[in-house]
Amino acid sequence: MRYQRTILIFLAILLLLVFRGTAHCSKDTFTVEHWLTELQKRTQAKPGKSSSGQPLLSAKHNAKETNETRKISRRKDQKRIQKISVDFYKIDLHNVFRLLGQVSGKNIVVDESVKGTLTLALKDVPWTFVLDVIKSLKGLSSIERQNTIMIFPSSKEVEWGASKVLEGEGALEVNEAPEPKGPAMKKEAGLVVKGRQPFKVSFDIIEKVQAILKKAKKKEESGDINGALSLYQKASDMWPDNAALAKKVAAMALGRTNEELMAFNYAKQALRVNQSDSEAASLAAVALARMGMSQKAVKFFERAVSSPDVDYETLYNYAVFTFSNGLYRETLRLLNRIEANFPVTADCLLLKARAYEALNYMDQAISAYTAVLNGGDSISFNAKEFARTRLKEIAKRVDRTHTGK
Amino acid sequence: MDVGQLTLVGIVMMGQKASIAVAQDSAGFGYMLRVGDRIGLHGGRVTKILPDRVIVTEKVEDIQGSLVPRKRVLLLHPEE
Repeated sequence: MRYQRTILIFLAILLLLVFRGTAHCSKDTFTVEHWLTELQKRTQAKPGKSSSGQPLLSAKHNAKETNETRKISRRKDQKRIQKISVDFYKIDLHNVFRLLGQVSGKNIVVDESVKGTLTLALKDVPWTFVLDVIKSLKGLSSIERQNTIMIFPSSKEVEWGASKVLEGEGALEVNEAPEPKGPAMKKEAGLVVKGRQPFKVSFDIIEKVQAILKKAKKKEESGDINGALSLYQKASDMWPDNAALAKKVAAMALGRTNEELMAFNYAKQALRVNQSDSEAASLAAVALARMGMSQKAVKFFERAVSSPDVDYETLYNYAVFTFSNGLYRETLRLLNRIEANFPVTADCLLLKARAYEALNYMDQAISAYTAVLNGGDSISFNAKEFARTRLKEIAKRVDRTHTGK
Repeated sequence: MDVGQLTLVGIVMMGQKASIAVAQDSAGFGYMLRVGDRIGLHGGRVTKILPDRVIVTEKVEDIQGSLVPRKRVLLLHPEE
């Protein structure tokens, strides 16, 4: 039925063409020929049929040609998406990937932390789909380059040439910063590699920064903090949009003495990228607090704790800051917020006790100190010792007031 | 190694192309098997790869001393 219809339509269009051809005489032959080949591609008519009753055109030759190219392209298609059926039963993952390597003819490299067994059966699917299924089932990712597929756990960041850029990591735990990524990677044979956002900094600069960061990391590991810091600084100057990098520099600068201003500036740079970055705000605030600019520090601290995904360090830093500035009620408010969101630490308990003590709420202070004492082995000896002496002190003071009465 | 020591863990059917079966030894090492591959003792060869099993043909001497082909089947889901 369908075949008949296509032929009917085809003949109708041919008639139209003939009409046109005669109307415009032979100078239009080229365009008509063009049209015809276009049509043949679409209708997939036999070459003999298309040329019959068409003495006007040298369509026979033409049709043959298109038919040939069509055949080739079809063969290519078949090769590209050859369907396979697989049945695996408790098979070791490494064997699966070796097998897929044989099936696909690609090199497959598997990270050693990939392990486990697999059971699945899929019928008539392209091998790329099998790979996708296994990847999503086992939480794996892959990168493809040069006919080679690298497979690794999704949680693991793998470097391959300049495809990924070392992030500012190390002393400071960096939260989800907007990830700098290289240009979108090629999509090949249906294997999709994570989409990347376009980035403002050009690719070769990123590459340079990456080299610098590698050096910096090595220096950091070998204990040369000063050298590492200056390298990180250089990298951050080259790539000002990388908030994580700027924060890293700020955190490292804070770790050293007399670099507060530098820390503040880099924290500000990170804030410029992301206004509501609580970590950067907290770094800026700590730097300001150390410089003695309490008023400004408060502003940055407030900015840091106002974000919903504020972390423990930020809250604790702010609590310590308010405590040292005599704002004990503020300290307690912050400590309550820590208790509500994070596991309570000995530091928090001690700070709470001291805040209560400073506010002269002796009962609460005593209970907080005793909580530290009874907190078990996870609390350090020093903290317990401190709590003990404070308790004695309080006891004395309470005694004195009693005897005074 | 005898065929009995191997467990069939995977079969891939690839249309016109030769199918591949995967058998694992006790250490988890995988052997990719195609029709015609030698396997096990007694001159065993993979003679057929079906969607759910692999057939291995070995040559065994019978009482009279003549070589007789013996079929051994590796199943993908042994307990079913």
